Amino acid sequence: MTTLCAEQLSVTIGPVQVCTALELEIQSGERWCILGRNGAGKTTLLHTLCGLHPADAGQVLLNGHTLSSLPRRAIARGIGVLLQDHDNAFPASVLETALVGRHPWLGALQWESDNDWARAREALQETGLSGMESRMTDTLSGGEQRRLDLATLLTQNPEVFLLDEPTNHLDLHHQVRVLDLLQRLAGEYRRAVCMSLHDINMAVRYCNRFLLLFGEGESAQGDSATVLTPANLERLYGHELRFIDTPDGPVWLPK
Amino acid sequence: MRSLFLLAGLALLSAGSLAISLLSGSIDTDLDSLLTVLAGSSDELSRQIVMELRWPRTAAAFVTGAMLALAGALMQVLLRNPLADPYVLGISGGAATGALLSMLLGLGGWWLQGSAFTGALLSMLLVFGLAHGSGAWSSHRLLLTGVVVAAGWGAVIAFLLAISPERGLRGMLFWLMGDLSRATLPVFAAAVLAAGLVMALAIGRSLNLMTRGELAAQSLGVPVQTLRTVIYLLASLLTAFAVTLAGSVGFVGLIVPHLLRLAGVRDHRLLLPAAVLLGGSLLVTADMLARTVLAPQQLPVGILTALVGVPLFLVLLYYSRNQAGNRT
Repeated sequence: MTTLCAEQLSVTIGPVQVCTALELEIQSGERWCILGRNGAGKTTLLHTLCGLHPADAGQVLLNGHTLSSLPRRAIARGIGVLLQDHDNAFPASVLETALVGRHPWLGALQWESDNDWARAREALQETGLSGMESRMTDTLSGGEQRRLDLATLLTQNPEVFLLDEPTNHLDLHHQVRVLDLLQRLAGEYRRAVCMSLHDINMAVRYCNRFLLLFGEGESAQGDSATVLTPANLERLYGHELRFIDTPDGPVWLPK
Repeated sequence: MRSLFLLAGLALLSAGSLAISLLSGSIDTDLDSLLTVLAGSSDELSRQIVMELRWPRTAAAFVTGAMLALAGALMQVLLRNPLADPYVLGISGGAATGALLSMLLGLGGWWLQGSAFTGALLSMLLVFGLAHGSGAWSSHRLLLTGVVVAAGWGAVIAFLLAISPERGLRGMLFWLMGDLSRATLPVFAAAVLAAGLVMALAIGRSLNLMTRGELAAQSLGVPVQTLRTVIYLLASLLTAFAVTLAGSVGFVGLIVPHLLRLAGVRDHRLLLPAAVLLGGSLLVTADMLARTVLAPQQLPVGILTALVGVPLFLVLLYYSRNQAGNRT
């Protein structure tokens, strides 16, 4: 059983107060979604939850240990993160890129074993990139690059998956495929999953816990029935919404 | 398998360039007599020519080239900029200022080397301290600090050249272009190179991750702040030793890592030893040409590294762009 906890967590970035004294508990098998308007601090909060951004106050705990007391390698075994940006100054092949996910699991002087290569290939298969192993990363499309980042995360195989807009750049089919995969990770493999999304309807379909960042440090959390109310969502986006009840659940539309 | 072939090929290239350099000079030496010298059974004159004149200089060329190539590869990762070279952060400027000052004062030998090395260390600490500043250091800030400090050294160097008497100018210019004629057998520098290579190999996989971006590297368990400091100190010290040996030899540190990257070598655990071998061979060859092309006139080796390196680099770049074009 894995838990990623935030205790009395206050986070700022520039002038933005992302959250104030936030209490959060992400457990194995749960699928969290962070919702908020542009610039509310979804990315910064995800970075803070894996120790890439310092908290102003409070702490983040992985299985009871504060992140600041853990070496980076130990954090990387427990928490993996799908970042928004990537750096293509030094292009590499697709397979090599997926393979770097094994880094936290290897000793300093250890070379990747056949097993590590096999895991990287498997991750490429999961993300629909089989056959592209030798393609260079600077020739990939935005969506392919995104799926490659996800493949690297799968190769890393952490206990907690943090994903910053995992469906960004993806076409409809791949959005559903990726979210299905994340759902399977939480269900079959008992991973803790926490993602930020902009599509409320996808969020409702794939997540079972929600964290709403209203800005100015205010937030709300809970299951969809408690927090995904018209009032909350209209406040969240500053936009009027309409919702239609369908047999598959509610569908939200902007007015 | 492919990597073993590459390293074996480069080792052969190194051995070949060393042999050719030992064979060439104003007095012809053939392979047979070289072998007898190496076996220790030759006459005194050939022994002196090869072992006391050519070998120290050839060895110094190899070690210098190897250090610069290694430092260049490390700097490129540190600054995440493929255009970085060992001199971009002002180390050679500091060394040049030290060297030129000692020449201006008429001090030679150990004074020259000592002041060059001191200048390099001073510059390294200055950039390191300033880039730290009050907050965290980013590679962007490091690059800006280094480039500006280098520009400052450039002005000091120009000033020293302007006020120095005519007869000293030639020596100074040679030093600035890179010159191996003062080189002695680089025993200590060779040990530094070996230690530097071992350290760099030990962090090889982390270097691979650093090329993915610092945030990505950190999220995969690389202690980026510490690693950056290690890379900076390692690359700077290697550069300091290299410029102390041979002045600011240009170009090797930029193009050797690049030649290898263009040839598709991306894993730093392979790239770094390959850069050491290729950098060494390139500088040995360039120095051999510098000694012999206009003999008895000697040229600064820096001219030859560019003359050999530029066409080689352009051919590879042209070829690789075509390849990229085919891919998309």
